[in-house]
Amino acid sequence: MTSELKPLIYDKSQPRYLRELMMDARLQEGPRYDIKSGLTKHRALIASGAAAPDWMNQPMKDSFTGGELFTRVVAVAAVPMVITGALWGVWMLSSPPTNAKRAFDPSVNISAQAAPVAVKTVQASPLPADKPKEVVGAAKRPSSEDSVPAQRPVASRKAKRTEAVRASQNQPQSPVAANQTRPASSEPTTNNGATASSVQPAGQGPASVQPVSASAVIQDAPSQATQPAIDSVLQREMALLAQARRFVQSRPSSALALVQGKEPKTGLLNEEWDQVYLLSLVSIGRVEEARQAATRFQRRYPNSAFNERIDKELPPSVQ
Amino acid sequence: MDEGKYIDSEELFRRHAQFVARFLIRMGVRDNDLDDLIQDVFLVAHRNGGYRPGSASPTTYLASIAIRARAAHRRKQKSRTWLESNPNAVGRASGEEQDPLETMVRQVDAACFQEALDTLDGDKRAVFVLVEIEGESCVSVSAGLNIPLNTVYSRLRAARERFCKSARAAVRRTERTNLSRLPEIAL
Repeated sequence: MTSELKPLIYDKSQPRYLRELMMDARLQEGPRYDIKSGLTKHRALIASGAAAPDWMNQPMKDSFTGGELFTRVVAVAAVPMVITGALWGVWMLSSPPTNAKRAFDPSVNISAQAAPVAVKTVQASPLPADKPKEVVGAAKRPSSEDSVPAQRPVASRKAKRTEAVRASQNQPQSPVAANQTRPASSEPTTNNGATASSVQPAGQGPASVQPVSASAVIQDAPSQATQPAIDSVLQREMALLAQARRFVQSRPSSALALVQGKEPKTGLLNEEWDQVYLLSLVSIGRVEEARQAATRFQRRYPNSAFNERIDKELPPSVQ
Repeated sequence: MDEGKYIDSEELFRRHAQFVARFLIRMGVRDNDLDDLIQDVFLVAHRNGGYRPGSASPTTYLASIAIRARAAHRRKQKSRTWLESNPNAVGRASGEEQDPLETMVRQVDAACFQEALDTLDGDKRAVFVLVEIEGESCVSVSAGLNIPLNTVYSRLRAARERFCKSARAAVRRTERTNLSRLPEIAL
């Protein structure tokens, strides 16, 4: 017998942030639908005798019976299996003769032939696992190399690799590497747009793609205090403040850390930061500090609307 | 209380169009398609002769029509539109002015909520929205959607479990994004 479930917002066993999410969702009114114009349109549709939608008399397709669901699951699972099997079959039939294909060829005596080949592989090559691939690769090469023993391809490839490594060590560095070894230039970017390896300054967002060296940014920073840069700092600060507010009840120590953090602040939200600081202290239980912070707050912001809330937030003093 | 009286489609529209809009948005319908679907819902309600008193409330009755409208719309578009829902559309709340920070907090909450809601399929999502957000009773939902009461309970239970898990992940992801530049704070 199933029992009635308590709504999430009233279920104290659920975490607080979840109940707050649900409460916010309940309070949201949704999109501002223009009921007047919608009603006018509705009346016009009825008056014109507009036909009802096709689905009007159809059952709700979202709800499936058990059998329909089973059929759908099987169909969905079977299709990729069939495709994979077909592709595998095509590959098997089209690939050159391999041990695997021999395994399926009833005319080939696997036990007689496979073992000697395996022994040869172990003895002849330091990389026995590569042997089948080498044979295949050798088969694809021009006929003049057909008679080359199996070791040669490995050796030649290895030699080529070694040569390439040696060559790269001896050759001068690539342009990118060369740029990186140069000292950081203090010239602005327009001189050399090809410095693709220069460091992207940390303060700039992804929208600004100018390849400017870090020292150039630092030197030019006071003169380039552009509005977009300030806005991005403010946005960041607002996001952190919003996060700190959310943490005040559930994780006050984290809220306090955010208040006291070293993130750059514009100075425009000092009152809000002070509020969060005060509420965090209360939540942690540092009441005396909270009282002192409250006194400072009231002195600093005498007209703040938060002052009315301070007395409610602070616990009564024990005398 | 509406349950005991016959209500024609015009009156239904006046009283519950906002509910239908909100419900469709939460079911994943985009802003562009909202008006058409709302009109379809009330046109069907009119063809059915309006709301007749019964176990279902007017809202669950309209919700059942809205679910079919949404399903038909989805089939027409041949795409899973519930993955493209617009959290900002639901977040447009009352006309009260809020300070920007409160608005930001609410937007973050709305985004987390919608992200978690998007992980539910159509059946569970409808039951979850009606019961948990719109505050309908399970009996009314059962009558409105024409499904057994135990099915409502089981869908609700499954939806809650899934939603809670997704909401927890969404909130943690948001917190991590905001705190990613403060490594000294332990998450």
